[in-house]
Amino acid sequence: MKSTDAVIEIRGLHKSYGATDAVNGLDLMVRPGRCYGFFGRNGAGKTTTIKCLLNLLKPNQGTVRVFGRDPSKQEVEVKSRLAYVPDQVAFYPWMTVNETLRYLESFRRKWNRDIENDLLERFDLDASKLTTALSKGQRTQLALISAVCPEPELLVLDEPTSGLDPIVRREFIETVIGAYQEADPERRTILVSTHLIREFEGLIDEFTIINNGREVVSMEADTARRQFQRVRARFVHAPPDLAFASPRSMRREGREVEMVLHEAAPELLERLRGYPLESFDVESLSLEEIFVSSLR
Amino acid sequence: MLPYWLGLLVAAIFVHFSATPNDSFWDGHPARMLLVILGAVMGAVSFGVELSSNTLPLLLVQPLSRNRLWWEKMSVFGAALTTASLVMVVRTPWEEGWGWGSGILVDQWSAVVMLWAVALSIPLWTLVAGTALGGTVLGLAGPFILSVPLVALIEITMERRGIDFIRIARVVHTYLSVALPVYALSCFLAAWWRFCHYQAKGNGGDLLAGFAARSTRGRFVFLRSGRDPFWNLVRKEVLLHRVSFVMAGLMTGVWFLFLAMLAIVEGLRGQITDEVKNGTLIPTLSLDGFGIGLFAGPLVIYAMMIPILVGASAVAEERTLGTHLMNLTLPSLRRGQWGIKCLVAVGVSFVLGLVLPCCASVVSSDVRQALGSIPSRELLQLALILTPIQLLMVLAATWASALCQTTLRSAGLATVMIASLFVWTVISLNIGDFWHQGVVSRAVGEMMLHDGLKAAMILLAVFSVVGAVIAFLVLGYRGFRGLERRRWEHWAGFGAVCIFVLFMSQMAGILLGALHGQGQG
Repeated sequence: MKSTDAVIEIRGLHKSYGATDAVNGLDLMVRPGRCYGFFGRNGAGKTTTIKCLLNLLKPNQGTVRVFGRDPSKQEVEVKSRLAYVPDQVAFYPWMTVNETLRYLESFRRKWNRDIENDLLERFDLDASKLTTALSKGQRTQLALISAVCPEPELLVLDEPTSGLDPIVRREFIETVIGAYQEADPERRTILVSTHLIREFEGLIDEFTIINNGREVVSMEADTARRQFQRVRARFVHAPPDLAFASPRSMRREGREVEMVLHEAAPELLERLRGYPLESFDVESLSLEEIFVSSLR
Repeated sequence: MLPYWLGLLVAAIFVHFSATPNDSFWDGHPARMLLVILGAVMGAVSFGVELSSNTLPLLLVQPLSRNRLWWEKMSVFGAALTTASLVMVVRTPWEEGWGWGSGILVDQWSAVVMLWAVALSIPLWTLVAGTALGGTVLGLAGPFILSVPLVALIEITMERRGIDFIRIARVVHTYLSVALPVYALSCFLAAWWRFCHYQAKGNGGDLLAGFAARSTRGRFVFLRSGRDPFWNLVRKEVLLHRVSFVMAGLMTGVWFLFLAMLAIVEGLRGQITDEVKNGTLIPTLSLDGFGIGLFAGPLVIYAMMIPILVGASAVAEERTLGTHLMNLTLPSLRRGQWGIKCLVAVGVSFVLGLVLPCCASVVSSDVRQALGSIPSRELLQLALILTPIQLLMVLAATWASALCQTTLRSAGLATVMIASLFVWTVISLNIGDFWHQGVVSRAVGEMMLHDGLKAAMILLAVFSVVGAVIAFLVLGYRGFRGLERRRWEHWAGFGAVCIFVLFMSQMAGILLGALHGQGQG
């Protein structure tokens, strides 16, 4: 793929706050039509990266391109094609839900009123209510509605589901995000930074895990599921020394051994099967398990 | 509270050494006013910061009784007020002698009473308003709203008995020394009760935001969000200054109350002429006696605070609300947003801080005389001087606002910056005078005689103002646009403004010297 086709292209991003390196030489490329997961522990540098992407922070080194453009130089062009939901949502306290939506609509070329009404109904949000009367979760819902209604080409979500109750969270992820992307699967792209990886499991096409500002793993979700496998073996006798398997993690309990393997060759699995076994299971890891296993 | 405590002590020491019998508290002695403002801010900060950062619920769930938490907070606050009060009054008795005969003691006592009255009422107003800024404004207005009818009432009753002005002033002082502590104590007890019964209602506690919301939903429909992004930004900016509008509203309320009281006084004195009774003449409100001082105090505080408050709210209020990020990610040029922000701030400050007090002063002095003298040359000159000063103040405060996270903090920073710039300007002019052998002083003295010198001075002043305005706009934009705020850049910018002021004063010296020489030749 040509780099000019990428919706987001970050190369060698370096950002420090005083002596602390928040992001250290990060590369990231998000192609159009993808739902891209951006995972990391607290303080890993996710929000800093997103802020550099939105020209809210100036990188110390490296280049950032959104839709092939420099967000610091062509800010309106870039911002008019994306929508952002921050981790901490706030609105003007004197505005109602409806006034807030009208305020935000006035800056957009396109605004889908049908989606707005549908989402207000789904989330059971009263449009005449003052924003100060909304709970934290309801404010997040309002932010999500305001991000989806302009039908942007890129949706940047930073911890979008924090504060949402499980029903609304499921509704949002499965229905809203899914429907948003399905409406134009070739062009609509999502970059989601979250801890609730399990919730986005079915949507993520590709992901990057970062730690201490550096990329740890970056791959397609399906490839990751193929490559990261959990092997559960129950031996007839005491388990043998399995150091040859070089597992990412291993847990022994009596005659049972559980290992997480990365890129386990078929020969390795055959060798394991060669031992006298009571049971032998191989299964793919979920993205959350890959995340935990990668950062351990 | 520590920075405010130190500020309070510095102001108290300044008041202590600068006070003279001729500077009444009510005449608006700037240091005394600053002292009262600092006391108010300190009181507001003790609760307002807890409310805005949402740490009050966290504090209240600690295994300590609310009663104990209240008294621990108040003991720190009380210690700060006590030290400031002691600094102000402790030396006075043996220098001036005890008793009400000492002018300084009476005025220092008034300042101490006002400080305690404002400071002790602030916790209640902060808890009611839900923000430190709202609490400060309401708390500062309270004692003045209380004092105006009381003073007017005393004047009415005593004037009718033919008692002289000096005795009236003393009686007023004595009554206020009782009424204000009663007010302060009532507010303090109410705040104590409110704190012990505090309900964590989440984000619904901002009284002024609720007021603004009711205004926009009600009569002032033009403030509702529309289709045009430009006007939406303008509306939003206007509503960000809601605290300034509330302050202006309170000021106007005090002003009308004051006028009404004076009209009653004149009516009771039997000074209403037949022409007034017939409706052919507007009643004359001649402000003599203690009343004019009472009105001057709040007016000075108000006129000083509005440009600072408006500028300080411009960016920091968005940060306090948490909406700054949302606006920066809107598909609209940041430079444009910054331009609208500055224009609205200058406009609001001009209307509330210059036009409104001017109207108040003009109408309060003498309606007929004022109406006759409005287009006078003196008034226009005064407006020409005040407008650039206010422009500089509001833009300096807007710049400070771009550096701070809260409006109250940015107002504090703006006050320090403006005061520093003022002191530096005076020092710079003196340096210029030294280098050019006193030619600046001589030339300024002759300025009224030579049109050429006057024009040169005005030209330099215009250059200075334009230069400083550009510097504040550029530096403020760098802070506003959301990219990392490097504090050293801003302090370097402030240094550049100071160097610019120094340069301009030297230019003034050279130019005035040349013109002075020509004049002599």
